[in-house]
Amino acid sequence: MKLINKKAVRVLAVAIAAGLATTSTISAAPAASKKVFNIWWYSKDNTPNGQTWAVALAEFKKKHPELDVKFELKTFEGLNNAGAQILNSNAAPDITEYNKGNGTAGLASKAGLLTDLTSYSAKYKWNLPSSVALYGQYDKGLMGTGKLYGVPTYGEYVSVFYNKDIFAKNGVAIPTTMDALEAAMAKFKAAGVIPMEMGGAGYQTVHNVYALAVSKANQTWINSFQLFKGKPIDATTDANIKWAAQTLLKWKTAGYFEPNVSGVQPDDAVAEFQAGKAAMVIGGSWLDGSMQTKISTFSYGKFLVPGTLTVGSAGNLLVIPTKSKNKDLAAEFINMTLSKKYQNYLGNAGGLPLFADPEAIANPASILTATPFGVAVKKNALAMYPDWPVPGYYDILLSNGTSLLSSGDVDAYMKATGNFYNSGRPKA
Amino acid sequence: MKAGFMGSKVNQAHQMRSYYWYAIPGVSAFLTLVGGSFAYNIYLSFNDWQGIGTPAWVGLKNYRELLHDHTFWISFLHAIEFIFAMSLAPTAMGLIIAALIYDFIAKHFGNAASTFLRVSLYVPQIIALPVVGILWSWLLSPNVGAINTLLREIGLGKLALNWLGQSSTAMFALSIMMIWIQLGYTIVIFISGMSRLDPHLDEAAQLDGATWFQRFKIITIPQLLPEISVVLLTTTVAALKVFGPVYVMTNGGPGDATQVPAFFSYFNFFSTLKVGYGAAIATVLAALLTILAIGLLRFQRKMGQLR
Repeated sequence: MKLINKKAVRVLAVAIAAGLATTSTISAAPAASKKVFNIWWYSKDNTPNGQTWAVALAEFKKKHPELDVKFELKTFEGLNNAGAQILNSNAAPDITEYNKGNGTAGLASKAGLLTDLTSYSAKYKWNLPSSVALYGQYDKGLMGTGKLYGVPTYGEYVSVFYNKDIFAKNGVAIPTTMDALEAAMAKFKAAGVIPMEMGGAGYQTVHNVYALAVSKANQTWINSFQLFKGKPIDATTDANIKWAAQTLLKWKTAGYFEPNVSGVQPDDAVAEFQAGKAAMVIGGSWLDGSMQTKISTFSYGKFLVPGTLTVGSAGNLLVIPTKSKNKDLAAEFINMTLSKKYQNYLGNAGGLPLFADPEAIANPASILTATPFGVAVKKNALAMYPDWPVPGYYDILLSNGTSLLSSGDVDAYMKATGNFYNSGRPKA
Repeated sequence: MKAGFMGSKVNQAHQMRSYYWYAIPGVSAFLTLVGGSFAYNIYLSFNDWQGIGTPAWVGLKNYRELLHDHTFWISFLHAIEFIFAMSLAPTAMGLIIAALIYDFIAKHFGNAASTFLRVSLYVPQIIALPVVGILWSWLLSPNVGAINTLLREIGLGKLALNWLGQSSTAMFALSIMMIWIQLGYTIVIFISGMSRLDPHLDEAAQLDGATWFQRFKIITIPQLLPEISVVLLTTTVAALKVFGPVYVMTNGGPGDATQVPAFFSYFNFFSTLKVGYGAAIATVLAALLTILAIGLLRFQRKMGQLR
């Protein structure tokens, strides 16, 4: 769920959606008589995921010389906004990466646009654990149970990146409780260091509120908030969300963020941390690559936000559209990406594999990011992402989160975001 | 004679009919690209639909919901504020700047200087909007942005506000950017209008001792009325359907501080997948724009007759 540069990506997405007609006619009219195999994904080639799939696809091509394999790099936003319409058209690919969640994969499965993969799962003995499979399972469009419509092959999570040098200089240890985290921030503030970078004008607002909310939550709360199981949550009054909003404000008032935090863009906030100007930044594992290449003047580490649960999940899905003309071949490719060979490859490329052998991973940067993730997975603490339950929730959380930071009005935040969530929740 | 007369009339009708063929490209393009989509949009506004599957007919439900939607009404309020930033302010400022360039700069510093000014003021119109958005986001960034850095340097640190990050200043910051974008358009049209005016009137008034401002008010502006009304019409319509700047700069936030109808419609259409509701907003917006355009065109015709 890369929410970075959402706007730029959206602009691109519009351009790509506009160009889709053209690309589809090109790929539909091959000169050769070979059978065409269309495969799409939107994990960019500088991500561990994109790299791993590219290597797997190269082997797949070698194995199937009879195929004319056509790969297209799409954008997250392009498939997020127009994906269903594309899957419904004759331009649908044989296999594609697709966003998990009720608003995307859920909607497409409900409309009969995705192939049920249950029989392939049995044939190839994927044996997906329920905490992984649930992202690909949909029942009447709702994620969590039901038929298997997609398979995730990697993970993602949000944690705290910290500047080891600043921590050491101020004699601060890795905080393991919320009190310790706040005490550390107070210490940094007193020492004249920005304790926590945050881009309040962008996605970090959305992630940080949720990271705090789930640090107080348990899986029962997640089941209700995300999967609509059990007692419904009233998001206008929910104690966890309210506490999170209040805590974020408390940190802002105490001066733990840089001034004018509601006008700071996330990319700028990350750049400030990478320049060594702040002690910490809360960020997703999709920043791992950027941190690794751009930090040169100090050493950094990662730890989980103290508390019960962690923002994170298995990654996006590989799905086989109903209109796919090569379903068996598509399943064969999914099976390759799930194999130990490519899971280990993903781990060594700095990604977060779901089924790798820990001993097979040697890259130190991979260990840095895989260790906290392993802890979260082991204690069954992944809390998903804040914008999943209701379509359009992300934009509401973003604009009201920025407003919360500038106005300091918790009640207005709870009312605006809560009403949107409550009215968007499927009626039981 | 009679036959000949009849013949010419038949010929005329025949000729008229042959002209209709020339309308086919325009009319068919309109029907497929605008008319068809518009009719489909109106149909969708009476339905509940998520973009795939079958639309479910719900009658006037979406419109009833709109009536009570606070965000919808506030978005229209913002559209009216944008009329000031995109239409009234650029027109007024454009008139004055165009007159200054035409009467003063061109006369005293030569045509090259006036052309240079005209072109530089027009540049914001040519830059692609996403680029403008990135540029201004950076200019307006609260801690590292150029505007606040400059304000702090010259001792006006108190004015170095969190421009786009708080509801109270976000609309203002967007408005400044829109004036910057729109100014070039009004200036170029007004200068070309001024070059069409009869210089004798101006010279006669000058001989009679009229000041520059008197001549500007009594001679230039009344003669420029056709240009002014065209500029007002096009920019007002642009202001009411404004989308791009909000999309690239604020996404309608913080809160709903910069929400506008076109963006709100898009948001419902594509983000929340409430396609019918988004279509209803678009329909109301189109209806309002049509009424407004007809009103402005009438006003323009009246102005033309007054002259």
